[in-house]
Order: sequence, then structure tokens, then C-alpha cells
Amino acid sequence: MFRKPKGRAEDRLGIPQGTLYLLILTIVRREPSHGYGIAQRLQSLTDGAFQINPGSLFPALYALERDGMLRSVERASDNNRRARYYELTPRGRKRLEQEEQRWERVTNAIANVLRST
Amino acid sequence: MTFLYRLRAFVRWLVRRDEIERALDSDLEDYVARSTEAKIRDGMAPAAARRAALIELGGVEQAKTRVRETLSFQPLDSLVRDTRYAFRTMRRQKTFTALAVLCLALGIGANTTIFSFMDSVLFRALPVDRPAELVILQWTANRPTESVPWAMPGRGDVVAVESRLRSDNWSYPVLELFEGRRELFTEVFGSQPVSQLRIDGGDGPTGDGLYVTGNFFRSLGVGARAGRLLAEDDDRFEAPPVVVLSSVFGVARYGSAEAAVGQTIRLNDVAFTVIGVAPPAFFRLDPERRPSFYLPMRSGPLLVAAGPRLTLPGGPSRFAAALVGSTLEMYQDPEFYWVSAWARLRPGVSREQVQAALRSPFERFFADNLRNQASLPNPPRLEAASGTAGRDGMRRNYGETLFVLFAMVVVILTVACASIASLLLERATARRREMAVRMSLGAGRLSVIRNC
Repeated sequence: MFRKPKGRAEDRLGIPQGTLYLLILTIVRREPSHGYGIAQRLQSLTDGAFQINPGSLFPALYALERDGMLRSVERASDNNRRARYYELTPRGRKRLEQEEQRWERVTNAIANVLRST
Repeated sequence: MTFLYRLRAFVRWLVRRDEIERALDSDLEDYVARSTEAKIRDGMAPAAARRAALIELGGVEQAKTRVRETLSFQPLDSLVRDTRYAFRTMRRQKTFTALAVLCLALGIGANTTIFSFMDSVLFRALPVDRPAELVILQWTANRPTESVPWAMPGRGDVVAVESRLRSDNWSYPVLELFEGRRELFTEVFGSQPVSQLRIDGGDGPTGDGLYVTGNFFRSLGVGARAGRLLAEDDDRFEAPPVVVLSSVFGVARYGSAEAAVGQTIRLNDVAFTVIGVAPPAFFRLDPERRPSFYLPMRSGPLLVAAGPRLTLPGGPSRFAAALVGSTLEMYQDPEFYWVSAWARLRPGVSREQVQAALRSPFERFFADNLRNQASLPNPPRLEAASGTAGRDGMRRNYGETLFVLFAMVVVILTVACASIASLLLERATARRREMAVRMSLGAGRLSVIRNC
């Protein structure tokens, strides 16, 4: 559904192919965040299982912005710095809901198969 | 929908690239700064922390390149790659490429030729000033003309259209009758083709000419390429013999249009002074003829007097009749039909109005001058046809043929396409395995189709 950014695979650190966008969208749905924040959040939410390489994160963020799923706003952040915060657009929210449902169906199906053996 | 977003992003990328680059810079800097801070908090030395953060980023430039790749328009990018791939394939399969190119070249070439021919014959307006105002004055009469004496001496270009005969040839007095109708026309002008004029005397080459009335070029609004064109003063019996050359002939004979002006050229042993050269775009009123010489209408007797050795295979042709008959009388004989009459409409006058206004005067003139009263029941009927696209001699003769030819050529192009399609299909069959592999490796269907 989502298109990978061109080039190397972003799953060098174990993120399943194609799920990076889903994860990013989920993270910024909770609250808008900047690039570093998204990376940190992903790492802490997965107890360090997923580490996202910034070389993959930014292309993904720009691709999502390009496709109208995210928009960026510059605003003041902690310790007097300004940063670009990424937030979900209505289009992104809709897409995320679809993707979540799809993900759920897929994981349930896989889990059923795994349980049955 | 996504396509539109991407297109918009691509346009933004093209137009406001600086802004995006700045945003990207600040994003990456911010990331590095925050990462460095975190590492310092974890106890690293500031310099080492920054270095570690940069390594974590995996290189600022690499990251930027990947973002740029994301923002540049994917379809465009793959188009470029597919094109390159296509050229590579073509280089590798030379025979196939040659065959395909040949098929298409023949198909397209034939189509272009026929279409440009059709265009010049059927569709194009004359290369003259305001061609829409031009009318061809012509007549139609019931068949048969063999028993119509008034048309016999110089029948000129008479063609059969269904059960009627049609011609734009008139006697000179009729042309003068038209000329008198200033309320209808701003100009009335005439012309008559003449063929096989002997150039330089002797048995050398011959060329075709066109006798034109003195106002011919002025009426058409055509300017000279070099020198001057014929004027009314040149069209007198006692005027010195002058000629205007066609561009093609003038350049071929004298090297350039300018060099031709002032030269003397012998036609049927009469010395003519070249006063000018017609513009290159102007070579016809009739797509069938491309005269080399434009001669004053009243130079006819001169040429005929000087051309007694003219022999004509197969008896006198219609041109010969006009040529041999080019005596002083033919400018006065009301029943000798030989000159094509054209006119330029006064603005606001329609062709229907011309027909209505001229029919009865002409019929009266015709009846008054008839030597053989037997043809009175079958008088010619005057018509004013559009002269916008020139004399329709070729159209009436070849119009249908051309359309058939065009249809055939379209079929040929279709056949060419079909043969290329079958060549491609054959190649695709041979590459089924490769495609299967590519599909199974995850290539999109579209990209496989594009590359086959």
C-alpha cells in the first residue's frame, strides 16, 4: 500500500518491510513530533527492538508529506530551539485507520495459523 | 489522488527547491543536535557525542540524496530509466529494430506524402491576398457540345460533370462584359495556359507559360520576388514583349531571382525581356499547372506569328487550338471561348448575388451574338464558384482517387502497426521466462509491460 522510498531497505535494524510508514503515522497521531522525537519514541515503545536509522526516517517523513499524509510546521521546542514538527493530516488519519485494520487482519490471520500447529 | 499529491509535491520541488532544501537542512541539524545532547547527557564528551550522532545519521549527504529521490517525481524518473532501457534493447537487437523502424517509416512516410499532396490539392487556400474573395466564373451546359457550335472553336477546358458540361473558359468580349460590372467586382482578370514554348529557339527545351491579363498579379495581391510583375501597361498589342518568370525557373536558369531581372529570353523566337520573378510560394491558380513564364495576354499573336514550325503529334490539341488561334480576332470574337475568367468580389457581395446579377446579361449577350441559332435552346448557364482553393481542375479529376489513396495508405499504416505488434508479441513470447522471474521477484506488472 505504501511505497517504500527508493534505495536501500529500511529494515536494516529489523523493522518489517512496509511497516515503517504505519509506525511513523501512529507515533505522530498521538502528538506531533520532530524527527528525533519520532525516532526516540519508536525505540522506547518497542523497548529498543526497533531502531530507526535517520537515513531512512527522513526520506519516509518527506515521502509521507509528499503524499499528503503528514504536514510539517515549524514551532518553538524545548530549550529555545525551533524545530519542524510533523503532524497527521485528515488524509493521513484516514489512511492510518485503513492500514491499522488491514494490519490487524493480517496479524490475526498469521496468529491463527501459528496457533493451529 | 495520490498521483495529484505527488505531482503537486514535484512541482513544489521544482519551483521552491531552496525552501525545501532549507527545511531539510534544519531537520537534519536539529536531529544531530538533539542526538548529541542526549549522548552528552549519557556521559559522552561533546566532540565524541557529535561524531557519534553524525555516524548514526549515516552521512548527511546520503540522507539528503535519499530525500531528494523521494521528492523528485517517480513516474518521470522511471520514464527516463525505461527510455534508456529501450535504447539499450534496441541497440542489442539490431535486426528487430531495423524491421520495426522500416515498417513505421514506410507507413508514416506514405501517409505524410499522400496527406501533404491532398492538403495542397484539396484543402489549402491559394497563397494570395484574401483568397476568400476570389471567384471563378464558369458555365455549365447540357450535353452534347459536339453539336454546340459556339463552344467548338476553342473549347478550352471543358469537362463533363454528370450529364452537364462545365468550363471556366469564356470569349474575350464576355470577360470585358464582366469587367464592366464594377458594383460586383473590384477586379476581373483572365488567364490562359500555353504549353510547349520553345526556349532559346530551335529544337531545344520547351516550357509552359500562362497568358495573364495586365491586372492579374495586382488582383491576386501578389508581390514580385525580384524586379516587377506584369502591369496593365504591358498588356497591349504594341507593348514591348516582356515576361515574368516563375521563381523555380528564374533561379534554375539565372542562379538567382535578382540576376534574372533584365535578361532577355527567346520564346518561340521572340525576344522577351525578363522584368521580374514571381514569389516562390505563388506558382499556381490551378494545381495541375506550374507555368515557368507569365506572359501578357496580348503577347499571344506575337508568339503565334513566330511559331509556324510548331508541329503537334496526334493532331491539334486544345492547347494548339488556343495557340494557333491566337490572332487578333480571338480578342474580339464573342463566340471563341478560350480565356479563364476570375474575379475578386467587392466586399459584401456574395457569389449568389453575382450569379443573379450576371446570368441574364450574359444570356442576352450569348443570344445576340449567336451565329448558329440551333444552339439557342441549350444556352450555357453562368455560375460563380469559389476560387479560394484555386481552380478545381485537379480536384474534380482526382479528388475521389485521392481519398481512396488516402484510405489505402491508412490501411498500410495499420498493417505496419500490426506487423510491429506481432513482432513484439513474438519477442514477448520468447521472454516469458524472464518475465515470470521478474514478476516472482516482485516487479510490478506495469513495469514489466513497459520493459517488454
